[in-house]
Amino acid sequence: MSGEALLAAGYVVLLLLVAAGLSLYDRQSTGAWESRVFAGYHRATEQAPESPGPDTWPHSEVHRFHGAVSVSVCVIALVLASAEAVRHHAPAEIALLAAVCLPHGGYLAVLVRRLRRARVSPPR
Amino acid sequence: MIARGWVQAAVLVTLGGFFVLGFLAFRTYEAQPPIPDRTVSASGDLVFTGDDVRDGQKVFLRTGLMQYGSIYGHGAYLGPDFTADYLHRSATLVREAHTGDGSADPGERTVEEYRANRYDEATGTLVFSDAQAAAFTELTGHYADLLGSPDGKQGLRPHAVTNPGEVHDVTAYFAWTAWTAAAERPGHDYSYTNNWPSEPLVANEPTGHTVTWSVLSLVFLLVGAGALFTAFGRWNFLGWHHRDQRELRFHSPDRVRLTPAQRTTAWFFLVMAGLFLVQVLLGSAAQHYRADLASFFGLPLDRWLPYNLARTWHTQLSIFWVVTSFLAIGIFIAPLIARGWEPRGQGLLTKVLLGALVVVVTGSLLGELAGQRGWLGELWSLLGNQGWEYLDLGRVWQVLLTLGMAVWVVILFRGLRRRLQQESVANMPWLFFLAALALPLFYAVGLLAGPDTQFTAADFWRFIVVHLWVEDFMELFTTATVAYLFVLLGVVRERVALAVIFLDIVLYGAGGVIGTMHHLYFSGEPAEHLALGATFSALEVVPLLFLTVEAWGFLQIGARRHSPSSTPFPHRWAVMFLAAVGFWNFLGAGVFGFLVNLPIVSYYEMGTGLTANHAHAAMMGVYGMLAVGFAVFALRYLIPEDRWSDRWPRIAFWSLNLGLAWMSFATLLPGGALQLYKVVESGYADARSLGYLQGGTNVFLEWLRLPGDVVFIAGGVLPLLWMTWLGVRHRAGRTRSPEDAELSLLFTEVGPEPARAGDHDGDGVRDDDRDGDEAGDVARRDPEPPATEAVAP
Repeated sequence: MSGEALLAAGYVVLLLLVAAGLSLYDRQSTGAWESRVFAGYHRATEQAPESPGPDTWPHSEVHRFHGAVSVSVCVIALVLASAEAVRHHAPAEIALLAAVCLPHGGYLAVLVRRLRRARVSPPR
Repeated sequence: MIARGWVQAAVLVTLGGFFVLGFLAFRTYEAQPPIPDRTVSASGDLVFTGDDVRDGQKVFLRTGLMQYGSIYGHGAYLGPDFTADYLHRSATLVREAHTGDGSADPGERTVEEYRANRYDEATGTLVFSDAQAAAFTELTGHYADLLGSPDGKQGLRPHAVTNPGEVHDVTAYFAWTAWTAAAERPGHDYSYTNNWPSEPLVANEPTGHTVTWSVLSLVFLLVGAGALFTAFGRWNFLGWHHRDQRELRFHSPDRVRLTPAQRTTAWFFLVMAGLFLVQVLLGSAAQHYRADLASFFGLPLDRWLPYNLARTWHTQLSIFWVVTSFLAIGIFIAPLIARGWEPRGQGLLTKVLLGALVVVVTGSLLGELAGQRGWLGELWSLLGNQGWEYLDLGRVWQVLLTLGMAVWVVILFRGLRRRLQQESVANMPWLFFLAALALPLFYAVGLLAGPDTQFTAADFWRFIVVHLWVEDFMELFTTATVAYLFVLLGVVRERVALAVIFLDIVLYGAGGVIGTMHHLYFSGEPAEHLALGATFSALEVVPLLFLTVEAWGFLQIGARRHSPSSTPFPHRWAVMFLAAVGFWNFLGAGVFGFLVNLPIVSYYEMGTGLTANHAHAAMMGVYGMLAVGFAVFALRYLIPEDRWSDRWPRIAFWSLNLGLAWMSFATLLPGGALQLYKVVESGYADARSLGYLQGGTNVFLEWLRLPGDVVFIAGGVLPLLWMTWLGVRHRAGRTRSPEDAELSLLFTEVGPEPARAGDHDGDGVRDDDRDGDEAGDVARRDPEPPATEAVAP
């Protein structure tokens, strides 16, 4: 097995973690008032601003932006693994690259489905 | 409008930061490596003189070698790092010589010869061993072959440097920097460069300082971040006291009359987009050299556009196009800050500034071409190519660019002066103006780095521009501008925006000013630069984290969707570009920046692809997206409503962001990580060699970048260019004249606020609005005006 195929497989796994991390980041509320960082504000404020909710703009569109970056990371991983398979395609290398691509493929399907369902309500 | 404590804190922190920076500048000159008057062999033969070294630096700069390779890891990343390359090659030759002459331990003898500092300050003489002197002679031939190659195919134009005297001098320059990298600093057991680069042949390895301050800076980062967030959570810094229930009505963009100067900014944005397109095309050419050094799809590109010229233009244009957008947005919002008033002649002055900008940009780019080709003779540094990376432009163009920014400040002052007369210096109009004033002032600092300035001192001043000007003062202007845009749109109260700007000044003043030294760990500076740079640059991550949170504080527009406005919020895509700035601030500047920031990481990593990864994700991700966002904001008013389509900014937004993400995750991050591994495994010189870059794995990763670059250029830049063309071609017809100032509102109006429980006196202003102003207000004012007062006459 070539060292390059091993490195590519390792990086593809790392990209899975990056995509998951970005997705996690995406799922955080972008409504600043919901952050614990604003605990002092909540204490000082009689009537705290209402939470914008994930469907309100621009939060909805920002969630979609983060989600799209996650998708692009998965696509990069799959393209990288495919190109590596063209360069090094011994059976063991193909098996390894396919093995690291599988979770990416599954995760990509989840992300795309989530992205398509995401509702963006642009300011009207 | 804001408590005096904010102002005092901002002034004290800024003064403290610059006091320390001044001390470090003094120490730079005091402790930089000496250039010996004469370097002789142990046998007494002259190897090279101090003038040879200084002339060699001029050859290095004039021929654009800093945009091909690097010195002390600073410069471009295609060619070798000449310090590490010379050190490695000469140490290999010396070791071979000692093996041949039967030395008992040739390796140890080589180490001793390189680490011993045989420079006599009294006589100004440095003594090389005979083997080192012989290596110099041999390497002069090597560099003659590399730099004067008749075939090109190494990234430089054919016959780039052929004059034997110039080859000797530039080799002497490389030899001198290599000497400073291995010879121990007097009184210490590490070299002038804190033992950089990693080179086993001369026992160069990280110093105790490098390791210790890496650990301590991590501790400071954790403590700093924890303390800031704890304090932020405990106290209500920004003075929000209630749910904001103002009603906003956005004016339709076609109802907004623009001033003559505002209309002229359409040309600025067109120029900006044109420069952006040229910049990315040059970046593509430079990238092609990394993927295929020999030819450009069969064309001998290196004859017409060698790598060093492409990269010179690429880096210069990255500053030019971003600054063009910043100049334009300053001119665009000045009349809004002045409540619709614009003095006569402002449009003409703006056109003059645009013409001057075009002259400076065109002249400096052509000068760089002529300078590198040697067409300008002795005028090369004045009109041609000074050669310091990012400050490549000739001295005359550099002065003219600084003067151009000064003219821009004058234009802003003319437009703002009526408003400034009425305001405290701690209020937003003054902060906006002072942030603008800082831009020419700190860009001018780059004038202190000339072709005769020794590398260590020149690098100090260069990074005042590359880091401090960009990271502190462009950031300050950005914060002031973005805050003002939101205030003008009525979605953020002026007092909140003011607090955010002061917080920005305090945080960046605390970390960013001294943190500039993180670029200078290994450039010949003493160890205190490393210690202070590591400590304070780690703290720089804190404001980056914080500004991400703060950005969301600004983006509370969604909470206003209950607004009864019949006009849609007109800035959907400008706000999305600002959201992208927040994302890239976190990822590109914060995460990728911190990856390479610790001294122990920087020791191995500096000048590898991970630096390029951070640079692209931060510069394009933050300042590039901001520049585009500013353009989209202004174009919304410049392009008539019937010509405006959200399609173009939407395509540009997605293409620029996804293209940038592809560039980073497909090529720069993995390529940089592999190169870092190679440095640790084989030493710095090997990992920076053309041989490594042309290796199969690296070339594979370089080609992998192609799809993202195509998306970035075709989907991102071209639609932007089209939009800016529409802005010029169909500029909204009605012009606001000075007499119109009293006639119409600009962007928004705020409807009557519902009566609230806290509003005991029934004046429509909540009582709790005032409490923050009771004690220590700098400018005692009436209750905080609704946002409309900031934009309406």
